[in-house]
Amino acid sequence: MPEKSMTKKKYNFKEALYLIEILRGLGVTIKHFFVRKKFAINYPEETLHIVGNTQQTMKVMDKDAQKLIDRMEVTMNYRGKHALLVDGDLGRCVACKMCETVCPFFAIYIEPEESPDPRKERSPRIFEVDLTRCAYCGYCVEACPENAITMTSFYSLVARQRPELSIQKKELRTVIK
Amino acid sequence: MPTFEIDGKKITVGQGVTVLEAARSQGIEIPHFCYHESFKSGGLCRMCLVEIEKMPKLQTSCTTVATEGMVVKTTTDRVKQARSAILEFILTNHPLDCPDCDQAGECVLQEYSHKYGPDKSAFREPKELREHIQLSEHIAYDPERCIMCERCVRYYRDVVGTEELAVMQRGAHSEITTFPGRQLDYGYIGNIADICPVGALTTKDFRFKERVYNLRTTETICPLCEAGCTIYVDAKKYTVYRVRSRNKNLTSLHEHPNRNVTALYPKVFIDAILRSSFICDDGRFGYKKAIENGAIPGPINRYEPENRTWNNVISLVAQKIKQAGSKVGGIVSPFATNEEAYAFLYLLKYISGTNTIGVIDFPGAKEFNGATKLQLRKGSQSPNLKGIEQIAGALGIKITPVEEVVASKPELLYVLGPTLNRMDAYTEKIGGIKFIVLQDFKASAFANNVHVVMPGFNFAQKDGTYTNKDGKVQRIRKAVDAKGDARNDLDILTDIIYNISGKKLGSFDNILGLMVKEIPFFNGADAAILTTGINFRKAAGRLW
Amino acid sequence: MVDYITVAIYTLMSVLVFVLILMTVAFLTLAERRVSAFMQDRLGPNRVGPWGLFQPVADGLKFIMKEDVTPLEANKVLYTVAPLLAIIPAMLTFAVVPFGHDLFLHGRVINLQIANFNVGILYIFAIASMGIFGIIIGGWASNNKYSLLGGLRSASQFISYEISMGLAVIGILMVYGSLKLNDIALYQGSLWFNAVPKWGVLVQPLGFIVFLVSVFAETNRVPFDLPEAESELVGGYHTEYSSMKFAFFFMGEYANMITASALIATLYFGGWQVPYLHNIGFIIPKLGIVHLQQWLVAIIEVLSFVVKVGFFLFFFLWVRWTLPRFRFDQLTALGWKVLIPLGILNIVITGALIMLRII
Repeated sequence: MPEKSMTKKKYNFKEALYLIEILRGLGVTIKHFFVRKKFAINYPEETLHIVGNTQQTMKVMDKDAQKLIDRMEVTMNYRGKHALLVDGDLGRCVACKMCETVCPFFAIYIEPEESPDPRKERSPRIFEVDLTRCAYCGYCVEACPENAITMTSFYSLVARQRPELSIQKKELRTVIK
Repeated sequence: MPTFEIDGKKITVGQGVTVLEAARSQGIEIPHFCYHESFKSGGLCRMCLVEIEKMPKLQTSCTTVATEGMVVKTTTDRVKQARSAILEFILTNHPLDCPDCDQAGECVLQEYSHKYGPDKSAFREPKELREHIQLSEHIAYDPERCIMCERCVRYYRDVVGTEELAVMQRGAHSEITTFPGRQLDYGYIGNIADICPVGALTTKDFRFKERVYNLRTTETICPLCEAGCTIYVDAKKYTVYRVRSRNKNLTSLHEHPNRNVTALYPKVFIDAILRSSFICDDGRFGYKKAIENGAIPGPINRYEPENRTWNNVISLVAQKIKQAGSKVGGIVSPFATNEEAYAFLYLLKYISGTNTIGVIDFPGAKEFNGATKLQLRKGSQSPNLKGIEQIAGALGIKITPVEEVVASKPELLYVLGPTLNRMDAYTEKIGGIKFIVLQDFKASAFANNVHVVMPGFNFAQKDGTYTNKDGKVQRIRKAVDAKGDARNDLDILTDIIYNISGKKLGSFDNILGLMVKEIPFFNGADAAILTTGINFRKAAGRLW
Repeated sequence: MVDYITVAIYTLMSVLVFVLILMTVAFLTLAERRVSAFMQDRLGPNRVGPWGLFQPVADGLKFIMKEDVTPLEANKVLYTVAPLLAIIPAMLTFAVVPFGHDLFLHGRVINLQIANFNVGILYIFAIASMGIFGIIIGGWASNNKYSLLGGLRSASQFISYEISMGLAVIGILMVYGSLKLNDIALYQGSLWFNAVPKWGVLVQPLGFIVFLVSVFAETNRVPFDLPEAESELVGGYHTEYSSMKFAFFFMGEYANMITASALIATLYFGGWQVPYLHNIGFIIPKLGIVHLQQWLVAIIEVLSFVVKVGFFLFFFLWVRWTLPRFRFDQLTALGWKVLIPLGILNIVITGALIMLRII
């Protein structure tokens, strides 16, 4: 095993004295104390705008977080509540169970059926996402072969009772409006 | 005995063996769709093309008989290119919607596309989409998915013999149909869904129910007649999703001991395979009859309604059996395994001293309409009748009809299920009997009128052995978990025996070992082989 | 004869100071969180009351409501006594700190100081070193290895820095020639070269630095908070403490900070002194006199003291959110190899300057 060695940095007199460097550090902190950038959001009073439509593809991500905060917008690639996309009146999902299979938390439950619509063969009779189990990892979106499931920037996921957080096909389809 | 070379390996095979079969016996994989060991090769799919020296064109290995001095190559660039081109042609109209298709996960085309297929297709035209056709009430046919291997057509021609299916139209429009206005006869139709290499033929029973890769496959025995066909049960958690046929011990034709090397398809050989490769529709679609579950959530005690725990019920039954002495009437269902029957008869013979037993009568398994070459059903719908007869004979117990047992008005009547509603006819005749015990997994009119009901397992939930009409001892395996507070029937019986006499019979393999030792009929049934289940298919003789 | 009115006034004053210190401690906890948040571009607690001002009340309530856990194997008596030992000396030290000069009321002279001892500085050293017992005993009585390590670290740290602190203070004593804190504050009002107030920081710059660093170590504040180093020792000496016992340790630490700030202000920044302000008003050499009422002068002096102490309290927080924690060997090396020699050097230089009559 090769021997690892570390050479200690040689300080010049100014640095070795510490005091000047400490003062510089104090300068940095006091600068932030008086001139603050806004990052935190006072949630119930201030809310972020959910921008864009989940139907459209992802916009170019904003690199500068400060710009987004100034505009009070959620990033487009934020992984929030799920949605099932619809082409016109025809749901895209074919109940292939890819998302159910890939989900590491068993948060998705699907029961397929013969589609009542002649344009496709099968569709989900039950499509249920348990948000209390979901960790918003986005694997389901990755796995979907039909691009049917996406994650919206809808972030306010609160409910008074657990069953309300188990969202069904109907709600998943309307969330994109 | 021709000797020839395949991929640089010199091998000697029997007369009339095809190149494909020879390659399989050597572990060399030649991809194929239309070849099936149960019927004649057609050379239809062209997937099994191989290069043979001194032949100008590539040859279909499934129809080329191996001859002396042949030099076969299966991995040359020419062969690879041909496979890729064939797959490209097959996929011109085959939709690439694997998520929609039930076959995904066990689809041969899917697998070969991964292994041998081209990256992209030269065809830019839209694929032709067609509606699915109902070939019978159990089978749906998707013409767009069909790759025209004609396995199903040849199955009906060579195996069933009724020739109900045919190819209509030509070229890209060709499709498999029945004669106009007819549907397939019920009987052996389910097998075509099994042998279809793609998702074109699907059973209504399983269509769009569950992905195959989510199912756990268990090797077990069909319980619906005395033939004891070997089946796979595909299940997930508590639910059985489908039953498939299991090709017993044949991994390839070549290994079969009865192989007659002088003829390509000898009659004896085909019969042997037919019996092993296919199952009837009653077994495939009727399994639900034998596994309905959940009707009895826990032990029922109408004698002392407040004592409903397993311990209470078992000690009550044990106490009653002890009091009744030899006046115990026993009725056993032929759905009970050999081990359960042994334990039950042991209880009657050595603990109570009863010398007769009633066996529930199930109607005979009727053969299906039509003059089919395939006749798989045997005897009555009682999978273990032979086993019970043998054990009763060995223990010196006389088998009588159920009526006699009921009519003799015993002090205690013990019915070992599953009764599958066959005891309902006796509901009124049991009036005078003081104490009736029933072991069953399913509620019935009879169960509502007995004193103690102990919920047991169905055939998919327990381990054990069945003896078929030919005398083969075959293993059934646990495929699904039991819901609720049901218990293994064998454990209930051994607990009762232990409670009365203090004798421990042990678990099912111990009892099987005991039977092998004591009953001559079971001699040679190696408990170890039957219980491990890994090598049992290779065991000789009666053991499967 | 006992002057009851004087006794009553000083009693009232001590109670007032006690309450004020506790109030300051409470709001210091809030200030710590808000200041740290601001320095990190965050918001800090702002939910309870306007600007989060009632947060200390909520915290206090929480401390009272929480279950008071005593470990099974702990020494019950010492475990209970330790938090008291931590907070009481911190409070007592403040007794000798002057927060104003004299107030003349109805012919009565009132020292704005609870006790004007003639051994003021020695009293401070004596009492402040009692505070360390709370930490050591608390760490030992918890019967927890982390607590014990915290307590031991605290002890060795205290020994190291008590010396350099004493050496730094000797310089002050040499210059002002008194142990009384009020006198020291008073002398800092005299002018140097008839122009500049003779504040300790100007006549003793080296001593000030040594004293400042030592005070940080004495109060267990970052960068010298090794006794409670969260990342190494869970919670240090107060790992096992909960509820009000923990709150006492917490309050003790902040009370120590207030006392330390007051000492720095008194010894090096003129205490209650405002430059050029005397009993009769501002006297600026060569420019003239601004006459003020005596009570107004007293108020200005007290305010001046409060502002100075406030600045140093802020300075404590400021340093905490700027510097990382020292390693323990670095801490002792700094104490023994740097600060003590510097303290001795300071004494020599001060002596020389006094000989040369520069100060």
